[in-house]
Amino acid sequence: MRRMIAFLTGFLIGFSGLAVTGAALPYAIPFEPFRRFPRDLMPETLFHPTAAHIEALTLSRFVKGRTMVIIGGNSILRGVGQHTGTEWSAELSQLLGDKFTVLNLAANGGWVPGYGYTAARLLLEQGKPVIFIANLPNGFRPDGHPFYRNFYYDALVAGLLPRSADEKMAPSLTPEDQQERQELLIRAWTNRLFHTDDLWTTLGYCCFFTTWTRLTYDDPWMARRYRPDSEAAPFPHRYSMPDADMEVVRRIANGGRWLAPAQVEDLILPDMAKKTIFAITGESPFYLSRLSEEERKKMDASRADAVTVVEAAGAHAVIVGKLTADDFVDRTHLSPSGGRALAQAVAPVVLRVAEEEGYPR
Amino acid sequence: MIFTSYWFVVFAAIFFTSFYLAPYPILRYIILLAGSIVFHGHFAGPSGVLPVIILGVITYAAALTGKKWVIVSAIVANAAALIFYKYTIFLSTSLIGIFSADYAEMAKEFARSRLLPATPPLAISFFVFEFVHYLVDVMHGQKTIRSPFKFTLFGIFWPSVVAGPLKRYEQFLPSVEHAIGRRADADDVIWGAVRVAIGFLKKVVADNMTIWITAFDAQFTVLPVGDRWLMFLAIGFRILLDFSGYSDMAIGFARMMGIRLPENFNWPYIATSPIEFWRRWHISLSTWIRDYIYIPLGGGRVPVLRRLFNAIVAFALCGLWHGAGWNFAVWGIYHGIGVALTTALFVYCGERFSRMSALVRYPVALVGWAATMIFVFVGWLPFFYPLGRSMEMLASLLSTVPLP
Repeated sequence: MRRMIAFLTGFLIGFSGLAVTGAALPYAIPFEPFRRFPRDLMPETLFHPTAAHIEALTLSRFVKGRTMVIIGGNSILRGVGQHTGTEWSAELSQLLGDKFTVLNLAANGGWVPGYGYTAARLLLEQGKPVIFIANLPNGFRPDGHPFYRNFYYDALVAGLLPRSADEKMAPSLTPEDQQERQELLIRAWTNRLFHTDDLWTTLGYCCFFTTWTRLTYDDPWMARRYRPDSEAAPFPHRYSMPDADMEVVRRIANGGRWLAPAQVEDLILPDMAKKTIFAITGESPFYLSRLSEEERKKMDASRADAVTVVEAAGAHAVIVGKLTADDFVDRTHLSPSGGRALAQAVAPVVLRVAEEEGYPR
Repeated sequence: MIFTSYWFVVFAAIFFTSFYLAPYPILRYIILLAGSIVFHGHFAGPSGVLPVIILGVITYAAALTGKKWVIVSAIVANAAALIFYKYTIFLSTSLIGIFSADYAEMAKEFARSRLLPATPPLAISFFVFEFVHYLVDVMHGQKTIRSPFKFTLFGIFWPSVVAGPLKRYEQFLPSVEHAIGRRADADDVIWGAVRVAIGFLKKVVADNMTIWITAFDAQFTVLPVGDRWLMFLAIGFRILLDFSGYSDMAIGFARMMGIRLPENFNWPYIATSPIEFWRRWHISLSTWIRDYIYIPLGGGRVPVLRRLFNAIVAFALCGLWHGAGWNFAVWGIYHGIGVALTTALFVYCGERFSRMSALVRYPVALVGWAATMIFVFVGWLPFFYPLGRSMEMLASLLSTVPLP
């Protein structure tokens, strides 16, 4: 019996020690230096930042007396196609001036309720001046691409994302998806109580990584903070898959409306809507010019419809117009020149929102 | 993988806490039974639980009657259920496909949409093999399990319910009674926890290998020759680590309650012959095949040629048990032939070998080990890949240039 008690005591002390370490580590070792999410800190390389990592990163960047501009959304707003130093978010930061801090938390395959939105809600709930910029990728469930579901439920359980969208979605899921959701919720609660993912992910960031991935095959076990920047050089592929991309453009053109009004209302709560800007960049003219007149009209109509939906929810929409084929690197990602155009289109709206909200500007 | 799911972590935390805190044997017994029902119900779902309940009731009741024809009928019912759930599509496409590909496709669609659930009931192969073992042993005069609760526990004991090891009720139930009759023993808990940790570590390594293999196996034949060999070895080690890791965890969890499950792996990759390999690999299955297929077919009592034939039949069934596909049957027959040839070799050379001096015996054993490993690792190719593809992969191992 004494040995049993000793064993269980040891287990409890060890477990508690790990939980406390897990709670502290994301704040002790935030992702720095940080310009945007590098490939090796995203789920596509099996690295899953938790809500605590986003919170630590956001709070470490917040400067009193400045308005925080947080970018969410997908790879377009992350700046795929713009190599390091030419990201549109850096350009935006320059255009806005020193009363604004721009934090790019967009992620490849990301969706509205992702890292950026979580960070924005965190600041909003703390009464800090924040403006949120996202785009409108279509076709996802409220909990996003499967890659990001760990994070979604982690942030949901942490109270950083609205429950309404999840509550509406849950009954409509298939039994398999219900089981997956339940598993992810338990995982999120486990992390909330014992900081298991917080600990493991931070160790993966600062010390060693434990999972092989195809994208990190050259040194899969290296701590992710030391991995080289995969976007240091200019984007190597320009319009490399014209036929496949054209097919996607046709599908989008003929696919009807981008999103249902309820989707935006569920995802962007009313207190957030007025501080949210949706940037719509569309498809490259390289492909649009090959669409039929009717398809182009449909595309324009669905884009106009998206603007109506966004504005009806109380948010702002910016259509980034007059982009040429050179402003894109592929069907949808912007080149450095396209990034500059995006920043120039978004900056005035940010300033207007800041004025309306009475934020420092 | 059920043991690495978060649901399971919560389940295990609640289960073990209540099991260890329960002061009376009856309470521990109820907790164990309730835990097993919750575990199986959660992972199998209603459509997976129902067939197992029906098979369980048939098996339990048939054994109680003690009548041979009833027991045989129950064995047939179990086998029929396994064939229905696991092999309907395979059999319909294979048999009807001989005459008409269109009709085979129609039969497959009909089976999928009208007859079968989306997936077979969880671990149906394990249930059926354990129930058949029970019925056969009762038919041969072993005592029956009279308590329906004990029988339920034998059927759905949670550590082994998903992927074994296959239990024998004569050993399992006394072990349960012994464990439940006393408070948890520190040695058992520590030994069990260490075994679980070893199993978990094996799973982590195996899962990494799986990601690597999945990323590159489509390009196997065009990889540099060194990488092909590396992947060839990884395929063999991945299944060992994955499966033995799972068994380690099952054995460890049971041991944390003080219950002993049979060992399933014993360093199979040090075997010096295919016969020895099967004494070390998936031991609970190979002994089941030996006791309930090979020996009833005649075992070692029949002439050598018949014995070899029986081995091939037993191994073909063993292969099909792993999955419904020709590649599994081929893998089984391949091992059957390997075991048959080694048996023949031992019959004719065994005595001479045992008379050899150690100086000769060790190099011979080393050659045996190398040949066995090549035999076993080559066998994993048709186990995991379609036959044509596995032949291509095998050919590319012997070529120094990428194959077209």
